[in-house]
Amino acid sequence: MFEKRKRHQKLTRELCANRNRFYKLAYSWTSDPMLADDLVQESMQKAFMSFDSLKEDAKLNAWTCRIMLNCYRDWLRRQKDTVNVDDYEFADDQDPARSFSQDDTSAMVRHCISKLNDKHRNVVTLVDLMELSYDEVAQALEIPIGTVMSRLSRARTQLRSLLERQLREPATVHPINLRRVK
Amino acid sequence: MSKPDQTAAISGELLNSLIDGQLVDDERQEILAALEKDKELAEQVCDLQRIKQMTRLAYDTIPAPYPNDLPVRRALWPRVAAVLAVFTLGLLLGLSDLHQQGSGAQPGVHQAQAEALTRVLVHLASSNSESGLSTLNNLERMLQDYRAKGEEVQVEVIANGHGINLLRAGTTPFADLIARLSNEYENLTFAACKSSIDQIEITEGSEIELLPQARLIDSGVVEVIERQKQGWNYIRG
Repeated sequence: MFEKRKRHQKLTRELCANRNRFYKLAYSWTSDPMLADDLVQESMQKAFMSFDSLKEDAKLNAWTCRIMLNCYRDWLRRQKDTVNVDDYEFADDQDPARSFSQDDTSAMVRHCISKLNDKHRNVVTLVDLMELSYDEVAQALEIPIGTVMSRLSRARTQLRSLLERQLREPATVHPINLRRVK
Repeated sequence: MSKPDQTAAISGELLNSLIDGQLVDDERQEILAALEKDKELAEQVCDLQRIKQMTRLAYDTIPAPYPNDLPVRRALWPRVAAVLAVFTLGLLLGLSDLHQQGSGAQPGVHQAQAEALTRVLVHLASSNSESGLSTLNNLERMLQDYRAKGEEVQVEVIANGHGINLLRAGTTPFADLIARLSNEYENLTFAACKSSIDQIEITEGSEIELLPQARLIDSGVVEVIERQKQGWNYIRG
């Protein structure tokens, strides 16, 4: 019992130390700071209560990503009566009246990532923001590792096309995607 | 940026694996040797590396909402030992029924009775006013019920995320209701998550004022977990 509590304390410390990283991941999925915060809080709470089901402590981050993804999918499902999940467009953190400036590369990249479909976005953010291995991404998303590799390749190719388009058309005004909130 | 040639002998998947450090030594050496001979392939790798870096950096400018120096939780063991000691003392004194009210009881028994209180944690994570009203009404009915039965209950409402808005002065539609409940029930307290407030303040660029009944806590989620570990009953509002 003492060992179990010590293990839980260690895992809790590790998770808490990574909260800002999980927040960035959640933000990359939602483009909404408050929703990202909610996602992190909810998924960490679930993780804290389920440490016993974590088989390998070394996989803590991948396991928590899986929980967060499930929380996010649950949230999307709860919006079903207002928005068709399949048609769901991710909110963009850009001001609609503002065009990208040369020094606003980060915002432009975030805008392009928000335009990826969720399968591609999930893989690229888990690899680049959470720095998970392909094997960990495969476990987190419950897909074969070959699918991780092909999705990642397609995601980066698409991301490059989107970035090229943005760079070619710097004055483009990007309409914000509206989301109905209950 | 040039378009990758998916039909090349070295696939896009392998090039991505290279920049992500997912290849074993032999594979990596083989691809690095090919890059030396094929300028276009080398450019593709540079492009992928650049995109990876841009993705990483894109979220570095997002304000981090959580403090890095989280307080270290106090060890539970001394508290557990203290509670066990109290229970043992109660048993030795033949006072195992901890619910029994006795004016002549020992101080340790009073503490044990306190441990036997019903403790309820209500978690507000949504700013939905309809569910907020329903939660507060249910809360009041529960407090009335316990009071009518003469049983003790301790209730804490913890708000984080969007739930902060329900404890926010000038924003919440429940300021009067919360003030009244707080006046009527000393065993009811309200707490708001500082991390969430910091995040809202960064987003809105202005300071948030809480209702006077709400106290600040460092992290709503940590508080929720700690309370549950201490045996509090959890209700999601």
